[in-house]
This record gives sequence, structure tokens and C-alpha cells, in this order.
Amino acid sequence: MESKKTLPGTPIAGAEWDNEVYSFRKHSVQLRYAWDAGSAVSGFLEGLKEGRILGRRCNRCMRVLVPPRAFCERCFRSTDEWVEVKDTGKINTYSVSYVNNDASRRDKPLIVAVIEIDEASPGMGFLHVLGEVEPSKVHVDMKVKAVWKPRDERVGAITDIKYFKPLEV
Amino acid sequence: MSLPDGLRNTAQAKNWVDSLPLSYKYSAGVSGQRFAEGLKQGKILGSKCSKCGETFLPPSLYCPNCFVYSSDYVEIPPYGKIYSFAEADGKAIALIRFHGVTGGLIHVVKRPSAGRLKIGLRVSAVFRPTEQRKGDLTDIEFFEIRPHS
Amino acid sequence: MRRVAVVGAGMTLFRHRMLETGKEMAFEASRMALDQAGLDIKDVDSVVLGSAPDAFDGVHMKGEYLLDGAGGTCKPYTRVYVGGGTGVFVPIAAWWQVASGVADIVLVVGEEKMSPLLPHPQYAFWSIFDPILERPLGVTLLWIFSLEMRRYMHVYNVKEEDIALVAVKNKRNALDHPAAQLAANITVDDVLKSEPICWPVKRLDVSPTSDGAAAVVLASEDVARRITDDPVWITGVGWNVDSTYWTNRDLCYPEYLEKAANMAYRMAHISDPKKEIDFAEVYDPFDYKELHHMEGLQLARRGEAPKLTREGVTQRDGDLPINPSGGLLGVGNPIAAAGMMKIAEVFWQLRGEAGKRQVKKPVRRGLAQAWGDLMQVGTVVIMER
Repeated sequence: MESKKTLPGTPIAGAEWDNEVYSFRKHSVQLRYAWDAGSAVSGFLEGLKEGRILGRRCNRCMRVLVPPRAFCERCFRSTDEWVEVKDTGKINTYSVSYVNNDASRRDKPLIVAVIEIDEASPGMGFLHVLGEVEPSKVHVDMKVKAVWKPRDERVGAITDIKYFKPLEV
Repeated sequence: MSLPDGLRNTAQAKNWVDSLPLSYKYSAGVSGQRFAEGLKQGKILGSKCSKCGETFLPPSLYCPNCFVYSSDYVEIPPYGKIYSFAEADGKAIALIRFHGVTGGLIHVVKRPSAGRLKIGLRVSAVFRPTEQRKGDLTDIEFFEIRPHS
Repeated sequence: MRRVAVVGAGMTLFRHRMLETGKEMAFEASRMALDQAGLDIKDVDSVVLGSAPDAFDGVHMKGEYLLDGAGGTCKPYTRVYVGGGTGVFVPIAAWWQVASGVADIVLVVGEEKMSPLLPHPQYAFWSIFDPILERPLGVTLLWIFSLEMRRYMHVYNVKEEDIALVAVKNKRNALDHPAAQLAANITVDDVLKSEPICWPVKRLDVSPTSDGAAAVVLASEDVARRITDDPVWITGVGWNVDSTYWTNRDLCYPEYLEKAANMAYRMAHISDPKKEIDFAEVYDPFDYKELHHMEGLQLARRGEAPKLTREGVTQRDGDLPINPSGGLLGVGNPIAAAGMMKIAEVFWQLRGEAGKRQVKKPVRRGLAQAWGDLMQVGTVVIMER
């Protein structure tokens, strides 16, 4: 490899890209989808609309799965029953996002976290955002509670929970 | 699979609607760049394999058969034959092949004033005026039937 | 099972944007690999191609689109895909064919052209998340990395300074790599003071998005003995995928990687990897991932990788060189091509052909590893001289 002085490839510099010194074609597509939520997540979304967090229990391994699923991926069998769990939990891990999903900068940083939900099996939780707290005050294992949208604004979506906030003791 | 308890009513089943808007800017590539520059000059360029000597249109950096670099870009005379065609929205779209060339171009064929389009008819490329060319296939406005073909 | 050798490797430059189309890049890398092996496309029995999500190239049948650039026309041809783990999975899928006797010579190609997507390739990653439970929150790929990094730091009490040492080492190693996109001499302080993107992840903790391709040729023992005096043998392969419910796992340790590594170690008759692996190319899209993966590969005890890095053990002249190529952080990260770059690096290192990048100690056995999807895939290849 070292005998080859330069490797193949023709880099395009930023200005060459912006000024289109080469031939380019531009194309946009707007793909729209309607994803079926499936039986377990439909129930979960229905619960969120009512201000409740629901899980599913597998009666073989006895885990309470949150978010709920129709089957237990470990026992590989259908789950058995719905379980309502608390809307509190603790922070498993968190970070502070300064960017949007297209890599542009956010106006205000956003604190994101994986929250282990109380009464679900240990380690079970989901992704959400934090509010009413400064990034410097957040820590792993911090107790938090869901802040819900008002009932009439809830539509059956993960965003029916506005954010999680630190739980005052 | 049976629905879990609490969701026996399928009217409760939900779906979630969202979109995925995607925008792209594709580079023409090394051979595509040469092809584009040729069109701007009113030329149809193909590539010639350094090993088997076969000529390809559109041109390629490499010979798809021998998998070696193409030796050269060659100008292909703008006269071809209709290999196959289809008619849609009042337009005729044809695959046009050129003598001694592997591949061809998909393009619009202008209908003859008299007679019908036929496979095997001889056609020639009509380029737009130089100042209107952009370096893509639309620099050829259409193919027209050659007289006495 | 037949023995399988690597007999040639090739790659393009890795750059943010390249003029070459995906097919053209695949051809350039493949041609170079065939030339190093002294083979013609007619000699190739079968082709395996790896490429990550179609959403980057913007051609939603990428395998077929890239086919002729990978030399696969009218041959048994497969595209394989396990997210970021793809690059090290492609040679595994090719290994099956030679080991089983289905093919004698297989061309193995990794390609990625990330630049076409506007406004930034990062956007494509949004489409890998759960559309109902995660996308409405505005999730980005950076979130999951930063969440994993934070958890790793918390559980093993690892400092940002320790993690930054990986970026410093890899970007410096890359100064000697002719394909490198982001080679640089930087300091720990530069990393710590770089722009926060998704704290604890900062600009210099992250590998770039890239265009590029890399290829190797695999051959059966008969063919390898005939065409080269210097074959490198694939002696172990392993792969493993954990649950997609990534928020239900402990992110501090990659269990799936431990399982993938153990599969490869068993095959290669390795019982003490830390002593028996001479050097490794581990997946480093982010600097902490190198540490995380060294532990999953059991090249370090849990939480011990930062200490080895501090002590210089993982430098090119150390006892256990890690990413002598410069890794994804320095050479670049065209996803499937990046994993293949690691395979090529282990090949060149074992043959003593790595030039200025050659590790100091004599090496007989090396390992390449990749990782991907929702922090759930581990792919491992062990190679020996």
C-alpha cells in the first residue's frame, strides 16, 4: 500500500460544493408513513392519554416490560397482562443536547435522559427529556417524576408527558 | 396473534403518522462529469475499455465486464436507432442505441409528421442552443427521425 | 471447514465529499485489492458488499446500484448489513463462502457515500429510531452516544480527560495514513475545549461523516498458496446482536460484544486475549467507544481501559497497540468502508506493509472489530500471519 503514493479519490472542497463547480443533481422526496402501533404500544399510548404509564408482564420471567410489548423477547412467548406502573423513576443516564437531528444548533440546550420507571423491572425504562432543572444540577440516579400535559391536550403520544422533573423529597 | 387483554377492541389500535423529508445533492461522478461537460459542448461521450475495446454509453470510469479502467472517452456520432419505445402523456420515450456502442440513451423522440414510430427507425439528437445547455441530458432537446430512414 | 486467507486489500481516500459516485469508489478500492492479489475479475467466484442505511446514498436499492462497481455483475452477489457493524461483518459473510467450499475467491467490498444527504448526513440517523416512542422527542444519533458515554463515565468513574486521550492518539496516528480525513496533532485540552455537541460529547470526541470505499480479497488455502508467499489467515469470526430495546439494557458494558468476541476467541483457540492478541483495530466512531470496546473484547478489565490508555499501553509503540491506523476518529468514518479499513489495516500490519504506521513490536495476530445499530451489534475478525 505504501508503494502507492496517493490513494484514488477526488475530494470536493466546501467552496466547490457550494458553488457547484462540478455537475450535481438535486432531488427531494417527502415520504409519508402511517405506522401501525401494534397491540402493546397502542395500549401504552391509550394509557398515556389517561395520564398512566402501562407495562406488560411476562408470567414466565416475571419481568414488567416498559415500554410494553406483545411478546417477551427473552422467553420468546406472548406477554400475559397489563400492569400500571408509577410515573416516577430515576435517571439511568443523561446528556445535554446542543444540536437538532439535522445537526443544526439548538437555540436552547435540551437535557435528555434514559429514565428507569419505578415498579417496572430493574433497568426498564425509556428515553425522554428533562425540565425544570439546570443541566449542572442533574445527576445519575436522580429521582424524577413525569409532568403531564393537561388532559385535553393529550393525544396518545409519548409527548403527552411534557418532560420529567426532579422529584422533591 | 391474539390481542392482549385490554385491547380486544381493535378500534383502539393506533397508528402514528409522520413524514421523512429527504433532500439530496448527487455528484455526477468522474465519468458523469466528463459526460456532462461533453453534453455542454454538444457532444455525446462514451467510454472505451482499455482491455476489450468495447465502448459504453453512458460512459463509465471502468469496464463493467473486464473491471479495468476505461482507457478513453470517445465522441459518439449523434445518430442512433430506436431500440424500443413507449408512449405516455402524449410523449414518445425511446431507448436509443448507437452503432458499435453498448448501452444507449433514454430520451424523448419527436413524432414524425407523417407515419408512425417504429422500432429500428433511425434518429438523430437535436441539441439546445449552447447558451441554454446545463450539462445534463436535457441539453439534448429531443431525438428526431432522420429523413429516409 | 477450509482455511481462509486474505490475499489483497485496497481503499480510496476518505473525505467529507468526493466527486466519485458510490460505484466509482467501490471500483477503485476493489481494483486496488485485486491488483495487490494479482487477480483478475474473472478469477473472482463471488462478491460480498457491505453498505449502511440507503438513506445516505439516496438510492433505495443500494446493493444492486453498487453491484457493477463492486465487480458483482452476473456473479453470486450479496449485500449484508448490520448497521455500523457492517464493515467487519462483510468479510465474515465472505468467510462463510470460502470456509464452506462454496467459493475459492471472494471479493469483499465496503462502500459508503454519506455526502448526498442534505442538509447534513446526520439527519439520516433519525430514521433508524422507533417512529412512535422515540422520534417525536426529536432524538438524534448523538443522544444515544452521549447517554452511553455518560453511563460509562458514571459506572467506572472515568473522566472526560481520560476519554480525550483516545482522540489525541488516534488523530495523531492518522497523520501517517494516506487516506486520512481528520489527522491532526491535538491536545487533551483541545478536545475538552471543543464545542459541546451533546455533552459529554464534544466536537473532537466524534469521527466525521465521510465518503469512501475499501476492499479485500479472500481466498481458499490452495489459491492463497499459489498466488502469494505471504497469506494472512482469518482464524476467528464472531458476531452478536442484543435487544433493540436499548433503554432496557445497562449501557456501561457491551455484553453483545463480549459474546461476539468469545465466539471468535473460541474459534481461534484464544484463552487469554489480553496476552494473545498482539494489536487491535477497535471501532472508534467516538473516543469513549474505543475504551468501551477494549473492555467488551476483554483486552482490558471493566473500567480499566482508560488506565491502559493513560499509561501509553495502547500507543503504536506500546504493549497493546490499539487503532494504529488512526481509526475512525483520524482516518474517517464512511461507515461500512470504515470497518473494512480496519480489516485492511490488520492485513497490512501483519504483512509488515503498514509503513510509518507499522507498530513497533513484532506482530503475529491482530483483531478488527466493529459495532453498530442501536448500540447492539458486535462484529469481530481475528487474523494471523
